[in-house]
Amino acid sequence: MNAANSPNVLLIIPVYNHGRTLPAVVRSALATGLPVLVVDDGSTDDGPAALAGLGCKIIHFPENKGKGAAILAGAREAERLGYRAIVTVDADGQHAPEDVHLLLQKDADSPGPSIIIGARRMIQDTVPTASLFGRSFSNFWVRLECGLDLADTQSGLRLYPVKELLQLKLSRTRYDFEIETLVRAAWAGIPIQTVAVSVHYPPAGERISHFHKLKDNIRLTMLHTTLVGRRLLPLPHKRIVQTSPSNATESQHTGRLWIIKKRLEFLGHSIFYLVLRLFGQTVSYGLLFPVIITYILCSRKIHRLTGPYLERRFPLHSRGQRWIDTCRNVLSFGRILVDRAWLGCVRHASLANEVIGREKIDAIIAAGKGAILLTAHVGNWQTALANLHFLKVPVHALMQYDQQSAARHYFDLGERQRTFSIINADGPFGGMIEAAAALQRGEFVTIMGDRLTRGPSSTVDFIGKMARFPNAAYTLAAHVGVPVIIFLAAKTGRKNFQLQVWDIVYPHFESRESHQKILDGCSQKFAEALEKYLKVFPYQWYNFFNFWIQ
Amino acid sequence: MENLKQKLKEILIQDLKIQGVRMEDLQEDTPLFNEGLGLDSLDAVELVVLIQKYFNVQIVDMDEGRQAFASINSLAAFIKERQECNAG
Repeated sequence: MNAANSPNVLLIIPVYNHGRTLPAVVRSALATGLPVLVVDDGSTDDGPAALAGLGCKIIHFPENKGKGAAILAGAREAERLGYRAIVTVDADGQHAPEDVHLLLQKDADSPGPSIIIGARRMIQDTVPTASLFGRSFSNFWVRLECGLDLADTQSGLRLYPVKELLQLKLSRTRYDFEIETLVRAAWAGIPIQTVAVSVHYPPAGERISHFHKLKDNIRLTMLHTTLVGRRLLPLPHKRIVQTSPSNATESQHTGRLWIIKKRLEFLGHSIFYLVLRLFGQTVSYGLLFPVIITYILCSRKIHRLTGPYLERRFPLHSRGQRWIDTCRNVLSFGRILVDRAWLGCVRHASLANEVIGREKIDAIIAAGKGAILLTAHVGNWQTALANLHFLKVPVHALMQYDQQSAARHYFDLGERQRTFSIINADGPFGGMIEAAAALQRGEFVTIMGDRLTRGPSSTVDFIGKMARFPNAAYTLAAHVGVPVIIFLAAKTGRKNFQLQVWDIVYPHFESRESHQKILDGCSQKFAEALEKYLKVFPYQWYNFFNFWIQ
Repeated sequence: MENLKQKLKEILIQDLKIQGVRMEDLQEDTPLFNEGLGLDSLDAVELVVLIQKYFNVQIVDMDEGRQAFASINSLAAFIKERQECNAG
């Protein structure tokens, strides 16, 4: 997306004593083609002076007022000059201004004004660990406050719509500004979107941060307390943007009762987290019982979500047995959620895994071949994916970045080293080129085989009725010449789980006419493997929708 | 360069089996993906593998893909540039 196509966007760089990196950042910002405004927040070094003649505008504050104040001043200037949106870039060189075009592209694709966040991709070695922890904690609180699962709530690389931003009742002026804007914008109905961007942290000695550990942490705590408190009040929020279909947290429901219900749910979640931290996994499992039984007795929606699968799996069960099946299905899901939270929150928590069919995988790796790990939303699939380091080859998860935000949130948590990278399936080629390159290097790519995307599919028999399965994985495998390993996770005990190879498929295309037949054959094998799995673990199916009508 | 483009057209028609287009009609500046020839992401993978096979040139991510696959012309230019890098 050419920046010249966005004539009404102003790029703002708030700066406080980052003189060393500032000129370079300004130069690359100017190179994007956008007009640049530097807001000098009372810098006492000569950073801003070095910008003379570079071609950017500068606003000076006589004394330091805070990043938030600087951004708002930039926004007001942008409004005065008639700009529709602003893009904020940090002055410490953390962001690559080239990524700005990703934000502009997303904005151009959006139907109305929205905030776009540049989510910093998970980093390899240059991340200071304090940042990582701070970020996931921040993401967690924002999620509780406004219901949105955002990848990187602390990222300073953002696009804001000027008019809407200035309408928000913002009170924070320092580092807490960026969190407050997100939450209040979400409440006001402004859609918030994310794009993945790169980040560069300079080596330890060079990094300057003005984040004052004590003061700013106190500020953030006060902010979150205020926001959580506001969240609990059963009063609707003032909407600035009326219809926001992608953020329908409360847009269709304005009844008092619904709001109270949401608040109670939120309270429930936080109590759960608290119990988990204080009393551990077993007590939390115990707490699940009354919660889930109540849910099942009171909510018709649950039965609609679990019914289609359970009716097919247990066609001969009576109504009473069906209720028990639903309980067991939802309880097992609840335990998996507790596990995920537990692994994230509690320091030495871990699960023991068993890998069945390991020799087959090792043989493939020994042959220098890559492979596709085709898996499904069964068992503790997320924790399983996070435990693939035993493979000793790089593993890449092909995921749609936004939709897998829950998975990403989990993988962000904790000091655990991330054992794989995510290939964004939202790019122009669906991530396929990167996946093919990884496979050719002998690496592994995990793909979810039970969620239809816009791509090609096969319709095959699954538990007695025809269902559609995506088949792009097999085409990819056939072109690159690698096997597809059908690999499913299952929870087998309180602290145990297994990963098993249920089948291995070797797609190979002969003539073009037979493509669909071959793909259907592969999908049939996947459906059969799933059926075999569900015979052993019938309650660990977590696709809570009608799988047979898509 | 002309041989290169000719070979690319052959690959597109014969290996990828693009329907409804004859060799003579293949324009060299038509976009290969979405509008234009309408190839999709799985065709992209096939094309990447074929280009490796015939020209020993690699395309490793979507940025290179976007650049190379804009049209037959850009693909030919991409391949030629990479071949010269490999040789040098």
